[in-house]
Amino acid sequence: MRSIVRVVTTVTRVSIVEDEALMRGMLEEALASHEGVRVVHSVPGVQEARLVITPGSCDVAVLDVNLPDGNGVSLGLQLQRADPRLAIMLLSSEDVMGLFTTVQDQVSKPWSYLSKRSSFARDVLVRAVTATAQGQVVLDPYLVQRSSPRAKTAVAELTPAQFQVLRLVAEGWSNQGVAEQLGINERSVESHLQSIYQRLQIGGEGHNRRVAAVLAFLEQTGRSWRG
Amino acid sequence: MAGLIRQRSLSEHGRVALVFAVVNVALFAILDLSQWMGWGGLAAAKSKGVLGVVSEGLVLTSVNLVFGLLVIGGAFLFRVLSRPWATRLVAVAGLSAVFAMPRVLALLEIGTTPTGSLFGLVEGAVGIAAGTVAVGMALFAADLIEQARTEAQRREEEQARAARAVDELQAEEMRIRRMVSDQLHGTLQYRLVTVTAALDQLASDLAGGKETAVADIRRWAEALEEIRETEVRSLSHAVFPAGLEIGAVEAIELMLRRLPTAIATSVELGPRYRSHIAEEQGAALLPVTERLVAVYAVEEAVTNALKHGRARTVRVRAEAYPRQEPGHWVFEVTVDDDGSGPPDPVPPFHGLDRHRSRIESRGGVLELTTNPDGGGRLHFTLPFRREDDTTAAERPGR
Repeated sequence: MRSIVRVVTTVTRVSIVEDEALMRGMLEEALASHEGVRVVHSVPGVQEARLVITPGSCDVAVLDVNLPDGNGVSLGLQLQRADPRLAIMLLSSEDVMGLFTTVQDQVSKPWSYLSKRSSFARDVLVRAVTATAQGQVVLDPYLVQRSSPRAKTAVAELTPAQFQVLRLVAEGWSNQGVAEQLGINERSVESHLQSIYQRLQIGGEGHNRRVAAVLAFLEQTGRSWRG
Repeated sequence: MAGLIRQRSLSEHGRVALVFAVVNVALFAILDLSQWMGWGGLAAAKSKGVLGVVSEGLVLTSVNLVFGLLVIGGAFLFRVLSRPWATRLVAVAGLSAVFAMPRVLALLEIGTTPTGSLFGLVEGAVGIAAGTVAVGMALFAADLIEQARTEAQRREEEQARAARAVDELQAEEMRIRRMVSDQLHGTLQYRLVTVTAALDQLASDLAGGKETAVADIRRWAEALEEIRETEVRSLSHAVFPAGLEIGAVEAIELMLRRLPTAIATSVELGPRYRSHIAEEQGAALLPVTERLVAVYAVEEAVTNALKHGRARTVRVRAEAYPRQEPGHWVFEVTVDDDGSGPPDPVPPFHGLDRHRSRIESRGGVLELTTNPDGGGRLHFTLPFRREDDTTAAERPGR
C-alpha cells in the first residue's frame, strides 16, 4: 500500500507539443518507457495544445520551438500564465538555447532546454524531464559541453574545475551526480558550488541559487562552430 | 531640388493665371463695346461718319484693354499668386479701384459715351467689379488647375516610390536566392559529399574489422552536426533568422550568441521595451517585416565592427516608443563597439547603404558615427505600426 502511494505521488505528467509525427512518436515512446513518467497529452500544434493543456492537467510541457501555427516560446508563456506551477522544457533541432534568456525573467518557473539530438538519448530525456518537473533548469548536455565562457563575464573568471562543476549542474545533475561524473566526493562539489556562487555574486539560499547559477551559465557562455 | 520644382510650378501657375486674366479682360472689353453700341455709339455715325465711330469704338476698346492689363500687371507685380485669398481679393479690388478712375475719365472724353456724374459713378463701379472679377476668376481657375496638377504629380511620385519599393524587394529576393543557391551548390554539397565518401570508407573498414571504426563514426556524426549548425543554419538564417518569430530582440540576442566567445556582447533593453515584454507575454511588438529589417541592420553593424574595426566588445541597446498617432511606434537601436571606428569621412559601405535605403524607405534614419570611446556606433530608428491584433503564438513560425 505504501509503495502504491509513493508511485502515484512521484509520477511526472508530461504533455508533448511537436509537429513532426516521427519525433512526437519517439518522444512518447521514450517517456512512456519510464515508470515515473506518464504522457498525458501529445499534440502537433499550438491550437491543439491550448485546448488540451488545461491548468493542473500536467506537470511538464515539452514544447518544440518551431511549430506550424506558432512558436513554443509564446505558447510556453501563455500556458505558464494560466498555470504558474507548470514546468516548461523547450525542444529545438538547431541551437537556439540563447532564445529564452529574455524569457527567464518573466516566468513563474524557469525553463529547460533540450536539443532534439540529445532527446534521442532516453536517459538524457527522462532525466531532463523529471529534473525540470522538480523545478530545476536543465540545459542541453551536448550544447553545454560545447560551451565556453564569453569574454569579460563572471563565468570566464571561474577556475577550470569550477567551470566543469557548473557545466554538470547546468546539465541537470544533482550534487551526487556531479560527484560521480567527476570522480570526486559530494562535499568537494558543495565547496566548488559555494565558490561559484561567490564568484558569480549569487546571494540567497539553496535551490534558487542553483537555478541562478545555471542561468548565469546560459547567459555568459557561447558556442562556436567551425565554419 | 525642391526649390526648383516650386519655382517652376509657380511660373506655370502664373502663366495659366495670366492667360485666363487676359482672356477675361478681352471679353470685358468686347462686352463693353456692345454696351457702347447700346448707348448709341453706332447712332452717332450720322454725325461723325463711319470712320469716326469706328475709331471711337477702337479707342473705347483700347481704354478697357489698357485698364485690364494695368490691373493684371499690378496684381502680378504684387505677387498676388503667392498670397492668401483675402489679400488677393483686397489687392485686386484695390488695383481695380485705382485704375477705374483714369478709365472713367478716358471714357468721358469719348464723345459717343454718355456724360454726367451718374454715368461716371456707375462706370467707376463697373470698372472695379470687372477688374476684380476678371483677375479674381483667373486666379481661381489657375488655382484649380494647379491643384489638379499637384495632385497628379503627387500620385505619380507615389507610384514611382511604390515601383522603387517593388524593384528593391525583387532585387533583395534575387540576392538571397543567389546566395542560398551558391551555398547549396557550393560548400554544402561539397561537405556532404565528403561525409558520404568518409562513411563509404568507414563501411569498408568495418567490413575489414578496423578497431578505430567506432571513434570514426562519432567523428563523422560530429561533422554532420557541424554542417547542420553552420551551412544549413546560415542558409535558413539568410531566409529567416532564428528567433525572429519570437521577436526582434530575441533574434538579435541569438545572433550575438553565435559570435566567437572572445567577443564580449550585451543587449540592453530600454524601459519601455522591457515593460512591453512584461505586459504582453509572448506577443511581439514589431511586425515581422520590420523585425527582419532591424535584425539584418544590426547584423551588418556587428559584422563591420568585427571585420573592419577589429572590435572585441559589441553592445546593443534597443528601445521602442510610441509616436503621437495612435498605434504608430518607433524602434530605436544603437550598436556600439570598441573597435577602431569608421574612417572619417565614412566611405560608402555597400552593405550598409542597402540597409540604410531599406530603413529610409520605411521613414526611418540610419547613421554610422564614432562613439565617445572611439569605436563605431550604428544608430537607427525604424517606424512601425504596433502588432496588437495577433499574438506571436498564432502566426506561422517557419
